[in-house]
Amino acid sequence: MPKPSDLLQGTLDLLILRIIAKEPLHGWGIARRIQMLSGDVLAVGQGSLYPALHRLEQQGWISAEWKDSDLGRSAKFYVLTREGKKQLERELKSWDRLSSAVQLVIESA
Amino acid sequence: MRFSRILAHRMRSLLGRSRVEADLQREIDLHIEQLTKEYVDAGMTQAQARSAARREFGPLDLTTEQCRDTRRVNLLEDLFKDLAHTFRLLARAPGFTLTALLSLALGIGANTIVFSVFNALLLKPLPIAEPERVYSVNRSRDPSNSFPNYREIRDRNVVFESLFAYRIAQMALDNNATASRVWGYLVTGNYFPALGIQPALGRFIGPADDAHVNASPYAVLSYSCWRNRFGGAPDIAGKDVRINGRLYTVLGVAPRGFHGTEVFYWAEIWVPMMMQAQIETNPWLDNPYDFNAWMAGRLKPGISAAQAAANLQTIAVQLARERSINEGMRLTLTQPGLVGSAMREPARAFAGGIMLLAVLVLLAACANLAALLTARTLDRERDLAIRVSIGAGRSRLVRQLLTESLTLSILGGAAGCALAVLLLRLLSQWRAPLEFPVQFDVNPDWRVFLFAFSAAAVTGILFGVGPAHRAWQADPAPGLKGIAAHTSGRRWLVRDLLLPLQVALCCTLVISSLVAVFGLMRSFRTPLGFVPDGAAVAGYDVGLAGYDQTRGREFEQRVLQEVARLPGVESAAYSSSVPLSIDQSTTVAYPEDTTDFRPKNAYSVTYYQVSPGYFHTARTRLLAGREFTPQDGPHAPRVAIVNQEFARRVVGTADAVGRRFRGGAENLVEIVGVVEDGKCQTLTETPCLALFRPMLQDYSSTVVVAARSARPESELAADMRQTIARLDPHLAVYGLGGLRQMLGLVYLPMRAAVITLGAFGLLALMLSITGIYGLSAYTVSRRSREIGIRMAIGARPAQVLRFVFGRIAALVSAGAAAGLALGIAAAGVLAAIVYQATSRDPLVIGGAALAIALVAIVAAFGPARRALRVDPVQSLRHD
Repeated sequence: MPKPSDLLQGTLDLLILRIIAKEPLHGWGIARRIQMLSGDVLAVGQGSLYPALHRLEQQGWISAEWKDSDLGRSAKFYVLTREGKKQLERELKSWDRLSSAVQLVIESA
Repeated sequence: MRFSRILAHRMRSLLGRSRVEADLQREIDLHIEQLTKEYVDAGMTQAQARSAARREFGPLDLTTEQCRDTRRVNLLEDLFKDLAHTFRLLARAPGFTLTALLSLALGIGANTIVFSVFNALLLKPLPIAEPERVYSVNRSRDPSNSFPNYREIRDRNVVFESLFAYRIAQMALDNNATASRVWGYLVTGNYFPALGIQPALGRFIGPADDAHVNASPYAVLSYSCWRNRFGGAPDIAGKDVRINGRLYTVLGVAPRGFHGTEVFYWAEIWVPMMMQAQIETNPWLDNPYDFNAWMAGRLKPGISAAQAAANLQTIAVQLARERSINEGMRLTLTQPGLVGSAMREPARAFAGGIMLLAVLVLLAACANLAALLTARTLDRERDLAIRVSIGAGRSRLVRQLLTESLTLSILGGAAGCALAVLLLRLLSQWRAPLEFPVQFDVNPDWRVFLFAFSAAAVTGILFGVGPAHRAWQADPAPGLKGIAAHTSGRRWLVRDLLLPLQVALCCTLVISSLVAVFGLMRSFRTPLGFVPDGAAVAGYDVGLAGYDQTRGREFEQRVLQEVARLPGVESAAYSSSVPLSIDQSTTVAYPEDTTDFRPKNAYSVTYYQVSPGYFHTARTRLLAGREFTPQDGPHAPRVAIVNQEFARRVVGTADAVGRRFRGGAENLVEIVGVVEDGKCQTLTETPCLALFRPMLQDYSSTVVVAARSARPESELAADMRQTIARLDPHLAVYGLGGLRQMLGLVYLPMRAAVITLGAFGLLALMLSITGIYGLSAYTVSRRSREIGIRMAIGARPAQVLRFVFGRIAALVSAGAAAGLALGIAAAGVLAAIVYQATSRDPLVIGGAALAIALVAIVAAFGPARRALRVDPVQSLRHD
């Protein structure tokens, strides 16, 4: 199995927001979901996941509450706030712009 | 919405810190548990799985620390920690803390007081509606103009919403029991409407109340007049009061805090301008040659001062063409409140000068604290080095040090501010001991507090920057080895400049205050041309009581006879006014052979009407000729007594008795006596030309009775008041007391300068003491080991002292020398305010040098004693 790629700086926030936009999820779940959905290509370093979650909470884009979880005990579930939804849209747009720009450069070079 | 959530979240993070930390811990535990479970499922043992999970998760502490960082509470948390640390440090060094707080409180307090005065004089607008649209209309430097001109300007201009005229006037106010002289204003009917203020009671004078010449008997009282003279009677509006013997109806009471349209003249009463002839004895409303009306107005909205000035100038040109008296008239606008621009410039110069001194004091305090704090930082180098070496960020250290200096300066500033507020409250209540109601409100407002806070903050940063800079450069290695403590060697550093700088500032201030004090002392001894001590005076104006000339003369004679009979009175006389009082008249005189009576050939002379015996009573020396006698009456030849300067300039010889001069074409006067020169209007004037005429030939309704006796002046003055009251109980007597006391106004600027400079000089001395003490004490404690070694190998006390204090003495001497030079230069400026102030006085220079030497000795005494008591054994064992 190839070593999972490092996440591009700044894309972690986007991924977190995108994942919990579907349903509230805890930290462990978010990490697993990212790895799974990316076909094991992307691995979230745990060292950066939790600071990122805290940062997003600071910004007011996500909020958290303790709930019973599928893990057999209560976990901290993160949920997108209204501002978080807007932020997600903004980030998606800018990601689109970025990736298409990168694509353009690669194709035309 | 978002912000409130962020705020709530941060507050939760800050307050419920332990809960947030626990949450994080639980979250991470859960994560590791899941990882472990996966490894177990993959076939590892529980222990292997656990350590693998830990490994995969990475360094736990780093993660939690990063989480903490993102929570952004650290700035606040750090601030609290820094503050706590600061208070611990300050409490550990109470001596340092007190010294620092004291110098800061004094420095910032002094600045706050001075700024308050500056604010009251120049910044605070008049308490009226939209003061920025109200302007004084100056004719030359002051806003006086003739009333006919006022009417023309009022009607022709297109820029003023309302242009009003006013005039400072005194009147006799009789509240049925006693008559007293009060100061007030004559105002046109549009005065109050233009100011846009609301009366505290009743209503103001309006245009309809100022419509009929001599038939508009209305008055508005000031708040304090209403409270003090009428007991705050709630039904005062509509009541009649007697002014100058006539009945006036009180329309209302002005709001508290409104004292008229001049900043430090506090009027008690306002009367319609149309009553001018009844309030003052000479009518001038229709006279284009009397420039007695002050003019100001409210500009129309949207009109700029420049547009208004242009319009006024056009009108001025028209008026100059129409009436020759207006030739060369220029009309300009200035802010109102300080007699147009006439007093604004001097007030600005004076307040600005004092402000500069205050800032110097604050700078001295800054230098002082910077030196102390830098010294302390040196001591803490090791502490700082340890903190750097275990990973403290430099910015974090600098923040800590700046927190310390700012805490000190804000605390000191608060103390200084409190002190200033107390003193300012006293100063606002203080009324200058003058006949004239000079008073101004210096109570601090938001501008003052803002200033004090900024001063404190800037001070804190100024004296904190030095130590912080050192901390920034701190290299942990030598600090830890304890080397830094001994590298202060022979190199001259910036901080070495702080002490001489401070001493120089102090020296400058001390010299300035000495110059001022000596000047004042000299000016008290300066020949005035009369002897004020031992003479009591009382003034009154029989014109205000409605006397005609015949009754007035009779009354004056009776008063004089009665006063002369009072016990202990050696001599008594009366005159129209006394020199150096506020009431001075001038007239013109021409040499006898003049044929061309144009103004350029005229001498302007100060003019007094006096009774027989005046010069004897005033102790003005008669150099030649005779005094006036009762024979110099209305039918005798016109005679005069002049001073030497008059004789020299107008007559051309000091031997002027028997010679004549002219008061005009038809007015030839013979000189019968020559008296010594004296002061007329101010103490700093060039020698004035004084002309005395017999009151019997030249009537004046305003009279000052003077009596000389060995009795206390106030006692005699009280007797004089009773005597006058017996002869006419309704006559307002003013200017009662010792003659010296009456001269208060001419001494006032000087006294103010001396008091301020004296206070600053003292402050500077105190700062110097703390500064020198701080540095000496620090040097001794720092070098006690070295002193111990030297003493152990046999150094004599004198050698120890030379060794320890040599450098400090050199610094102080250098500062003192610079300060002396600077002070002598600065004192030249003072000569303009303080009469006879000179810096070339050896007493001043010697005094200042002595003061600094004394200060240095006093300050260094304690540390020196400590240096000599250093026990070699103890000091070597230390550390």
